[in-house]
Amino acid sequence: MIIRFKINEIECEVNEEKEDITILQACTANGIEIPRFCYHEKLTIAGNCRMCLVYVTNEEKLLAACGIPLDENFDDESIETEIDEILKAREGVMEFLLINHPLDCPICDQGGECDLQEQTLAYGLDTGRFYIKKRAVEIKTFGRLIKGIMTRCIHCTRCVRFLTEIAGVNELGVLGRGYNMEIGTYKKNVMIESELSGNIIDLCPVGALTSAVYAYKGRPWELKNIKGIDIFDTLLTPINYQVKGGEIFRILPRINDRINEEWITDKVRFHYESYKIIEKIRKETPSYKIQANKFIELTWKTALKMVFKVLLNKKNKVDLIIGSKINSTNLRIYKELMNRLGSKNYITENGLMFKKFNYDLRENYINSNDLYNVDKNDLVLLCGINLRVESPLLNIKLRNVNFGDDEIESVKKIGIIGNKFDWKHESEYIGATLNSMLKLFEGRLPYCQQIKKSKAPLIIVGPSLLTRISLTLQEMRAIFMKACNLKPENILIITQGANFGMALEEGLFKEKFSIGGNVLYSIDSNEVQVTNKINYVIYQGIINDKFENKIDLYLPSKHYFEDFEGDREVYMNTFGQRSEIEKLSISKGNKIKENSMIGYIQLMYLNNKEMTRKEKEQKDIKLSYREMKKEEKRKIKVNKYLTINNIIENYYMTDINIRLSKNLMITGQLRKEKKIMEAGIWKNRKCI
Amino acid sequence: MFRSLLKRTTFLNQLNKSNGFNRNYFKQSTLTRSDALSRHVETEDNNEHTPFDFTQENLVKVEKILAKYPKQYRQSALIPLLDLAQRQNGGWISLRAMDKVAHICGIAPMTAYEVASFYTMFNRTKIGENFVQVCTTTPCMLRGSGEIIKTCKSHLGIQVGETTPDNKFTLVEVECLGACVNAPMMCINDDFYEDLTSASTINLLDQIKNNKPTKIGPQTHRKAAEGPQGKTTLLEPPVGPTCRDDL
Ligand code: SF4
Ligand code: FES
Ligand code: FES
Repeated sequence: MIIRFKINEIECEVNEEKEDITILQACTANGIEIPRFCYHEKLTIAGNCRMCLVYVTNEEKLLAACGIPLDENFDDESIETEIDEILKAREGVMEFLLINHPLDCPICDQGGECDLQEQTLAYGLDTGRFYIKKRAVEIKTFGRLIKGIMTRCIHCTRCVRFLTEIAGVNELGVLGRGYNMEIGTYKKNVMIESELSGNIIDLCPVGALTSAVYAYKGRPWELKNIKGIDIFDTLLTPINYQVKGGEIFRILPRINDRINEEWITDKVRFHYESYKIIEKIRKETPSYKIQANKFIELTWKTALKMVFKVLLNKKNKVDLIIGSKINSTNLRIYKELMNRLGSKNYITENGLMFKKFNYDLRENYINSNDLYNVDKNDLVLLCGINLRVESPLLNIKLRNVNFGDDEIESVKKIGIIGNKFDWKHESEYIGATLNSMLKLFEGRLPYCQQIKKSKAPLIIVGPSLLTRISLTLQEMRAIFMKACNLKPENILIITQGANFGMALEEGLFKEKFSIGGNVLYSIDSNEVQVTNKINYVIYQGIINDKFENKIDLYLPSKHYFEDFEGDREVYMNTFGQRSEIEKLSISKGNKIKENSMIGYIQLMYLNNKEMTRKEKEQKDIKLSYREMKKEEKRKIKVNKYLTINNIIENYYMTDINIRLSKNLMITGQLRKEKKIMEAGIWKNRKCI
Repeated sequence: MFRSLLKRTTFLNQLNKSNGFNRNYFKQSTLTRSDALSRHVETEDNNEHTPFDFTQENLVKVEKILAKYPKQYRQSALIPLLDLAQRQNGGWISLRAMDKVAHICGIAPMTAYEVASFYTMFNRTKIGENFVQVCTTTPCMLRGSGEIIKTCKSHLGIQVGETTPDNKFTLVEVECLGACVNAPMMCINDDFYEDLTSASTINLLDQIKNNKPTKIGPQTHRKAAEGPQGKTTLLEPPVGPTCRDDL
């Protein structure tokens, strides 16, 4: 049935069968703004703030627009949002909200982006009438990252809904009632144990939940937005750096419905602390080690000469390892450099995990799935991946998978091979060893039948499985497709590192690579094991904490977001989606050079010619799987009883930037020890 | 100069007082009610390590309660189970007891905390053996509940919200308990005592203190809620059904 109605004299119609929308959504679609506090697009409807009241003809009372679906009752009715009655009602609601709200806007971090402030200005009464006692609630601690000044809370319950529905942790709740109602953890000093807890800071419409790291640092109107990406995750979530005067003040998500919706992980939200520390402790000039712990400073000219002395020495065997944040321009330059030197020993640090890889076809390293409709799947099998830690954003997408009505029955729609971890739905735990994986390949498990039966299964293969089995990705895919009757879209392969896909795009991979040479040239790569065989280490990057004392020649280079020629650079995620990043400069030292600049100089030195930039043709190549099937016949040789453990032990330790962010580190440690936070942690933070 | 400043502040104070408000006065949530604080208070007898488990006979009751609800909605048993736990625990419900109930219902502990803190009849801090709840809502107040509360305070030697040192009594004020016809009234544990006077209150408290039997219901000669002329309506016996038999 088509419903025709009017909103403020605008004629609208809604097809009831096709669209299922509320009054508020219809108003927004027609460009009419309705003030709100508790309603949020991505959360369930609570309807407890009453700010969204509208007038509907033939209704006795005003209706809360956020919670009322448009159905046949609205046919021929008209909805009014600007009449006096509504304005009066809004004033009333605002007045009630402000009774107990403290007047500390000048010292509140939300000031300037506070919904309550803005809406008071737009819809509130111009004078207050309450001179009675104000209620106060004690300050609560939710960990090192989130500051909870709960007197400011207006009880919209967005934070509670986010944590229970989306993040899947039940650590916040609505306690007490009436005058005594509080949002809190009930027990004292409970840390919110979610990788996505930082999002409640963005969700909170007032300053009750604010970032502890950003506390008293800046005001939103002085900050400039610069586009960036979440470099710690293969999804490459779009983010915004908020900067002022060459310093990152905070990081906020950029909305993208295909990737992150509105959320970002805590890791990227709070890691910017480290840049400041890095700025303080890094070396700003090229330097050379003469003794243990004793460096002399060099000029760039001599430093580069020394590099060439090493690289061009015929006796040396050079391995080039590139870090996971380097962009594709640099990947191309350094590959070219190594090629000119006649060597093929180059790889990215994440590529090191894989023994074999066929990067001829794009299908082999890029997933053809679309995250947008990931929740349409009706069965999920996780192989060797702890989604919560390895890809928290994908995890929350999958947590909302609609399992239909049989969710209640005992059919378990989630299978896990590898380490156990908590999920919303009950899951079937298949096994931790490779043996169960092999059984699955051969179709011997009862679970295979379930996979075959389901309409849209999704199999997620994690890096820990890929590294323990001597199969290439495409072989794995082919086996799966054969064993369980699947299509390529049903398999999702999660790798690690931001530039893994891009490196393969540039052909920067070598099969069976092992660090065997005596010279290691590391470009911003920390996660490499430096053996005793290596007698010369060139480290070109920012800061190193893994093999710092083994570095012989240090070349300071810039961060990944400072290091490209134009204003923008494009990164590609594991789904082949591209995210743009903009240039941001925070490095102060003028002797710090871009990786690309160093690379070009080296190339020019090599043959005094401009490098011709070869771009690999970026067409979508669709090829049949015939070739792969040939390879499939090879036997799989593995130790059957190897367990598929997680690659990432501690979520808060995976990258140098994270290891250097104090608050993230402490959060990680606290969580590791499962320790309840000590009281008084705020006192040493000089926050309040 | 200091003196003039002092004068000025006292003047301001007086002004505030005479206007009947004080602008800068912030207040913590009230402590005196049975709903107490909206959070857990760590004490010796109620902390993370205080053990709680249902007794054998109560476990049978738990099964019975769970059987009333469809299997997939077993969280509906939350309130009856919390009540059972509270009874077993001596009138109050500890942190671990809530965790236990939540576990039985298959929900997060937080949900149990939310429910227990919402309903004022769940006590989340330790109370005395006898929980004296004096009604102070309008009908009772008009019939003299102020006097009753005063008597309780002076006789037990405690304030509202406190427990006697011998752990016998806890005194609280409550809202209407639905016995307004026989106001003023109070409720001690599960029993109602109505038509109170100061004397009968003292008498009652003494009897309870010495573990003597008490008269439940009106403390005067009134029978149930009859008026002064006795029963005038509903003279014939009630027709059934009277109550659900599964309750
Ligand atoms: S803390 Fe913020 S998000 Fe949570 S209920 Fe209060 S106002 Fe809403
Ligand atoms: S937005 Fe509708 S009630 Fe809060
Ligand atoms: S007012 Fe006291 S019982 Fe109703």
